[in-house]
Amino acid sequence: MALGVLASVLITWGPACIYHADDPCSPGEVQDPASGNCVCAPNSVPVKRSITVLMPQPGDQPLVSMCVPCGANEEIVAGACVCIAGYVKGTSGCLLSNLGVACTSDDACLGGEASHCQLGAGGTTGYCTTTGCTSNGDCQGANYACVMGAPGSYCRRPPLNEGAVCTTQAIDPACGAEAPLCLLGHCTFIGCASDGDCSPSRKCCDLSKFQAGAPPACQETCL
Amino acid sequence: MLRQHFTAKDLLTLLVAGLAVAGALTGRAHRADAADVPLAVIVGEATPLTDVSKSTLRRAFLSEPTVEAGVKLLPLNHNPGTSERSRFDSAILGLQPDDMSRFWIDQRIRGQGSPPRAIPSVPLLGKLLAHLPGAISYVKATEIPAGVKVLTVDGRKPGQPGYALP
Amino acid sequence: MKGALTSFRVAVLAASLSLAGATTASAQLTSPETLPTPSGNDEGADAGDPRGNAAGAAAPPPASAPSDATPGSPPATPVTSTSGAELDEESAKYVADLMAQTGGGGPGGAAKQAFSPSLKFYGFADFMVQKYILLSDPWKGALNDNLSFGVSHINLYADADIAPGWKSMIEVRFLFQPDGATSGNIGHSTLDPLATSGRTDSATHDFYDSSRVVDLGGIAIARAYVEYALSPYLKVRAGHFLTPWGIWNVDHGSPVIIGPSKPYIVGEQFFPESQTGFELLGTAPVGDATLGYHLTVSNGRGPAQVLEDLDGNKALGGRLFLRGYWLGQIDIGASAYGGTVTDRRQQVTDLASQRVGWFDYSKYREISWAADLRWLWKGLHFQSEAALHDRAWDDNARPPGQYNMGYQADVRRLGMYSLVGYRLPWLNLMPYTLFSYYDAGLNVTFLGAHRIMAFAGGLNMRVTPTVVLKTEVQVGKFLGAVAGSLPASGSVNIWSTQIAWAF
Repeated sequence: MALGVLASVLITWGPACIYHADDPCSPGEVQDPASGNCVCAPNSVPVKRSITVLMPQPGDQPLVSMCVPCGANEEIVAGACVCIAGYVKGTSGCLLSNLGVACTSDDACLGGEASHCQLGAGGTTGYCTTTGCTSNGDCQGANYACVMGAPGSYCRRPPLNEGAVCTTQAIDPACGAEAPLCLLGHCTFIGCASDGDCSPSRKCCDLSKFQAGAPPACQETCL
Repeated sequence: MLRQHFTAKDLLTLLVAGLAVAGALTGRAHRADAADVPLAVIVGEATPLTDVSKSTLRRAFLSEPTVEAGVKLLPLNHNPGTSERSRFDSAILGLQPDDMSRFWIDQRIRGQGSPPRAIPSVPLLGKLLAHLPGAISYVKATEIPAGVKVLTVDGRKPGQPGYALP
Repeated sequence: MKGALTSFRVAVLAASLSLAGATTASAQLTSPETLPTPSGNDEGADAGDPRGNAAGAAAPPPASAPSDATPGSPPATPVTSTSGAELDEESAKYVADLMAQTGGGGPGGAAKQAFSPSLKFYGFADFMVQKYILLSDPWKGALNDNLSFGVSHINLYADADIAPGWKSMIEVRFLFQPDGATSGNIGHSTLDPLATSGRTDSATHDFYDSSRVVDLGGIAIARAYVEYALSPYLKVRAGHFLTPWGIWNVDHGSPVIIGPSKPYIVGEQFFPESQTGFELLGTAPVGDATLGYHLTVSNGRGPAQVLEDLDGNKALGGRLFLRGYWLGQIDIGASAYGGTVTDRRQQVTDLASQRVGWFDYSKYREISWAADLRWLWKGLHFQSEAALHDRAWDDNARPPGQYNMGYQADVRRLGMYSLVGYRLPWLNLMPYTLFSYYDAGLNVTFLGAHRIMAFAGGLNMRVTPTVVLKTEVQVGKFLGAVAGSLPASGSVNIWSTQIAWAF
């Protein structure tokens, strides 16, 4: 009887090959040839598992269930897929959008998803955007921030030319008016009071430790 | 003076002598019983066995559970160092005395059992075989105690050509 | 002068041969076979007396010999007895004791009444001398190549017959570790050696010695099980037992094992070294051979494997072997094992209601296979084992990779070893050679290589049946190492000498 049990076990396990050399990783992952570990395939981002960590420690490594490729017209920003410039998140991926298109009134925006024309300080020209957002995530996957304004909440465009390459380490006319300071070679918005004044991919950073009296500026990473 | 006359022959003599001493010190040399009286396998008269195979003897005296003709065998040894014990171990188990010591020490460390019980005298052995069902042991064929019977081994009697025990 | 030399030669030969003869006689009687035991259930007490019994060489010991083999009985009175005749007191005690050991009831249950539990303590220990030799400079930076001494094993067995048919086995290993051992902080220490040494410091202050420092060691429990013989062919064990796979893991103890170091397939745990659960085992004759089997069911491996099972899957294992006596003794065996290893943790699922729930931090399935062969013929000793181990992670429970590089991949590991030795008739000396191979499957394992081949040559000398002296040189060479990596800088060579003793 014992031999029969053992034979059953061996027969059960024998063909039950659990290791597949051609598929040693989770979906969306590939095996790094140098280390042999699994890493996300090119242009893919990890899907983090939903685990509650009330007291995270420095160096905690997030747990990942798989990697998913970014869709068409997406790029990886800070470990996530976001629509490239000129595209917004729709129900079936990133779509060309009139978000950010110049306008003078709501009528000019009616043809697209962004049906509201948010006028600038001068009150004559502005850009098409969406209203009624509750968080940055409602702003169609673009780097727009959900803020409160006169028409209620709307998706605010990042400052024009923010992040563009510049050379003058000071106020650079080439950067334009909305992100006028050339800081570390990129046009930067200055004068923020909190992170909410910056676009979602940036934080409001204190520069006074580098130069007394310097106003805060929106940067991707505070130094 | 001697040193001046040491020849290759002298060195060879010393080498042979040294090897002989070293070989003896390892205890591997076995001194056979002078009379060469064969060993007989014995059980109590009430035990329903008449013959036993060499492989059965080996299993039993390696302390593996052994059942023969419906009887669970209880092997009983002689003390280590006796000629009966050395001859039996060599013939049935293929082990010399030091090998046998090492074997049981190794078995202990593996957790795989202890050697069969050693009985200090033939008369006591005879009494135990007579009263214990399944008890089996061995003695010189000229010293069969009362109350036991001799088994053939693989169909052969002690002294017959091809008999398994010396 | 010639005559004097001839006489000298004859005298040397004669003296040597007579010394050889005398030594042989006493060696037979003084070799300790097994070890002294309180109950004397085996022959250890008799053979443990170093004075031996010189008079017994030519005749059986008298009946009035010291009653080492008899549990507490008085000296025997010689009685001529026939079957059915009444027994003297000594014989009656022997009969009762032996019948109780076999589990028999005996007449009127006298044997069971006569059963007295026995407890035997024995064990083994070993002392190592070790040095890495001929290392390349990068390896010298990674390994400590100073000559080192250490006591690596102190194992104590408590082996008890607790009732007819019932047995208890507990084996405990005492260690000087964790004091001085590499700790989990070793990575941090390399990055910031001022912050931590990367070693465990288990020193404490001895309250009874003016708070002077004393280093604490540790205890590892190797085995703890109870065993019952259901039939001559079936025994069942419950508790913590050594995984019955292959040869080396079962040999287990340093006096039994030929060399001082383990082959990779054993050291790298292709099978778990031990398990907690149940084991069925037994042997049966098959012609002149013996067929043996083991079946195990256990918690399997895991972070709490000796305490609880963190998943619902029990690990199953087994071994089948055949032992034949054709041309010496040949053992052929096959082993298998499989299970699921889960690191299950808790998280807060609802802060308001303080509810918690389980999640799998990591989870993998594993299957191991092995085959083994041992051949003992006269002085020849050959043994070889090959093993395969597959590990497949659940996609939703794949943990971070080593050194935080990516995530751990599924892996297949392969390995084998072969050992050949010959026990010479002089000094119980066995020269041997050991070849082992290991493919870890992932380059990250050896920081730039995943395959290693090792050649070792050594001497094993059984000084006495209870004392073994070993010395070995091993050369380990990495295969296919990534250029510029540590394994590519050269082989890892180690000289080890060990004295192991059983007590």
